[in-house]
Amino acid sequence: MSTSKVVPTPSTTLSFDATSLIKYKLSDEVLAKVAASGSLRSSSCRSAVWRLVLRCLPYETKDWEVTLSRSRNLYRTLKEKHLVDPHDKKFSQDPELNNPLASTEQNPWNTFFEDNDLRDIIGKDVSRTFPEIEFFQNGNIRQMMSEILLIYAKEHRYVKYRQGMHEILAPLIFVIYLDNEGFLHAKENDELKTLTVEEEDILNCLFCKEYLEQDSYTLFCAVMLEVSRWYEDPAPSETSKQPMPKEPYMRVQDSVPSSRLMEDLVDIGNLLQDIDPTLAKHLSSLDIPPQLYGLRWLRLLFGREMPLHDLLFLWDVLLIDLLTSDYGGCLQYLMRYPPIADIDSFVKLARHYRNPKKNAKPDVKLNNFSHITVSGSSHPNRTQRPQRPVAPSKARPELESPPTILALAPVLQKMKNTIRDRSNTVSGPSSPRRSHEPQREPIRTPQNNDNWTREVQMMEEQVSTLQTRLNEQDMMCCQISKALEVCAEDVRNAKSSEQCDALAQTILELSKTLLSIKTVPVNQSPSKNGKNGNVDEKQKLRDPPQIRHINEMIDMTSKRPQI
Amino acid sequence: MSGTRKKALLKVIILGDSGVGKTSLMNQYVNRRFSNQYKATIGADFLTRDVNIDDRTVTLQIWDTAGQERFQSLGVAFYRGADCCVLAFDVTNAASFKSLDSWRDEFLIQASPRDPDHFPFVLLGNKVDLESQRAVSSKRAQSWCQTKGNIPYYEVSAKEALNVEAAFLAIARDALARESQETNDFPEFPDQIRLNPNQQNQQNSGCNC
Repeated sequence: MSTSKVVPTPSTTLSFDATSLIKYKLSDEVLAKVAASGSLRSSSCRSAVWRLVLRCLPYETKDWEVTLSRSRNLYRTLKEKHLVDPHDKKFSQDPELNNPLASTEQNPWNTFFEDNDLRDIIGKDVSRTFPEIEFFQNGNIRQMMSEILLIYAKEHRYVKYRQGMHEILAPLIFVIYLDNEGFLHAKENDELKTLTVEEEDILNCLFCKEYLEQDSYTLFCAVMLEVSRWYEDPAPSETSKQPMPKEPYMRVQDSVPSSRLMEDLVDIGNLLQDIDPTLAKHLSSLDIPPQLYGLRWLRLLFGREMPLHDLLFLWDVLLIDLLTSDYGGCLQYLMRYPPIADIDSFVKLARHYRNPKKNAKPDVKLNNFSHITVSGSSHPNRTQRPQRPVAPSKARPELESPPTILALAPVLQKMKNTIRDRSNTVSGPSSPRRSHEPQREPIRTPQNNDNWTREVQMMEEQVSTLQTRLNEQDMMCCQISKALEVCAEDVRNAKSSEQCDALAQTILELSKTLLSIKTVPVNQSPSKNGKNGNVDEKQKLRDPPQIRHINEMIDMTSKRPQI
Repeated sequence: MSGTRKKALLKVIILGDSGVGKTSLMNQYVNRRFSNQYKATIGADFLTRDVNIDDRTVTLQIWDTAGQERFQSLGVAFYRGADCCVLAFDVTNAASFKSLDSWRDEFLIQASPRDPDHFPFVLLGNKVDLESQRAVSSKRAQSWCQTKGNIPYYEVSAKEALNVEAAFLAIARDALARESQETNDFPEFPDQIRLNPNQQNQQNSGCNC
């Protein structure tokens, strides 16, 4: 670390844990770096970082408790105000005035029935939130989400509730929940020994399970400050009257209603024109305006375009850096987005387009989304064959013997050969090659070319999908091994009998096996001493999961000595 | 006649309240699958399926919309060139049936087809597999259709794949038949302003000096 010891800043390569949250001197700049490095992927402080950058929390840690209790009390007040119970004593209980059929203005039942319609709409969407994730099937969570959305709608009458807001809220409540749990585990595992009593109190207050609903509401409101403009109805003055054609020969129905959403969508179109004129021209010739594909990107902040764990990483960066603009939007030019094999490079490229001077364009070619169009045919803008990165971004030591990779190797090698052969026959030797390239001569017949192209594209798409699954597996491995470790600790603490120890050892072995599925190799020699081994494991777990590139994996497997 | 001007693509738009099953209907028809795990549609989405009608291959481009979406936010690009509008409601939900009028009206206002009285609409009453929970009778739906110029009505179930195929095939036929009459629902240019003095006789009756 190059900074002074008095106000250390967190290393952007290590994971960002509760200790770094409270010990380091944080600022928007520091957090932007931490987020962009991907350190929050395995951090249990992601929600705190989001709250800091969205100003739900001040940077001064000693003010946190006051701020938190204020926002939590505010939510309680709002809930009392908006969730009307006609049987509440604050209303007149005179049956003449207070009954479902009374036509008086003060009748609390009026509001009750009005809310019921809103509840119904919200409930329909909440029950359809991330159906593939078990967390959102929980009745309590659904109840919380519904109440948060209802209160937001009643507090913000100009936007009310609009479909899509539920999927802005969902990742937020998910992240806060995970972090609260993560903090508990860290505490149980004595990982917070370096903290003073005061510091631990502050964190206890921050990661308090009791306030999941309150804290989610506060964070949701902060995100909606930026996002709500994409949910607002167009200005009423233009829609209530017959819209006037703005240009002489324009049809009435062509006059686009002016809304901020529409303006931003038009901006996406203009940006696309700048960045990729060929694609922009192609889309325009097909009469596909950004309204058709961009609306969902903006309203859900790309929530439907990638799996949740990748989305959270995108939001790390988006919430800090990109939220106030739609520059990220210009990159995703497909409504049905192919799986992003390399979310890291994707985010880097987005940041580059956002600010080309500050952020260098990533070297890694984003080849998995350079060639697929909506119809599945070749991308018109494709001038280059996918190029393998000249050198892997990070040197990785050799693997021990990961079983998954072994099984995958022949398939991958075959795929890669095919891709290489194709690039030889079509674009000539433009891309740099490695010495250990296979000697195979491709069969070249002109009439085969189209079929080949199609097949290669299919394969590339499959590779992307496989990569996504591998990424998911990585994340899962991390989670499972963490859980196992916690479990092992529990067994150890419960009884000190030898049986328990043996059990704990078995669980730790399991955890190691799981970790070995990851491509990030075990480079420390496993210690004979159980305790030291444990520490190593923990250290490793703190490292953010690395992104694996298919190409690197092939290289690794091909370099492996034959067994 | 049908051979003279080939239009292989038919654009179909599905409208209706949130949760009536628009996405499910589209997916059942295109992918022959049902899932109760669909997410709420945001903005719009579409799928295509090729159908053979009288030895002609036609691509149905089916546009699915968000049930809560109002037309203003989508803009006219979405509705331009629609060949048929499918209105969907949930037979177990009376409110979704009541909304049909406003969905139809808004479509006509926003898309402004040249001949609104004869623009092809089709009504689908979904979720008939839940017969015991039915809130809108077949008769009621049919009489609504009669008041709107005899819109065809189909009772369907996306879950049980009941009648879905038949309904969409009829939709395609309808749109195609209309297309072969060479009607132009969405004129490329606004109606001409006639400068022939004979047709605007009120204004040239005297001297303005």
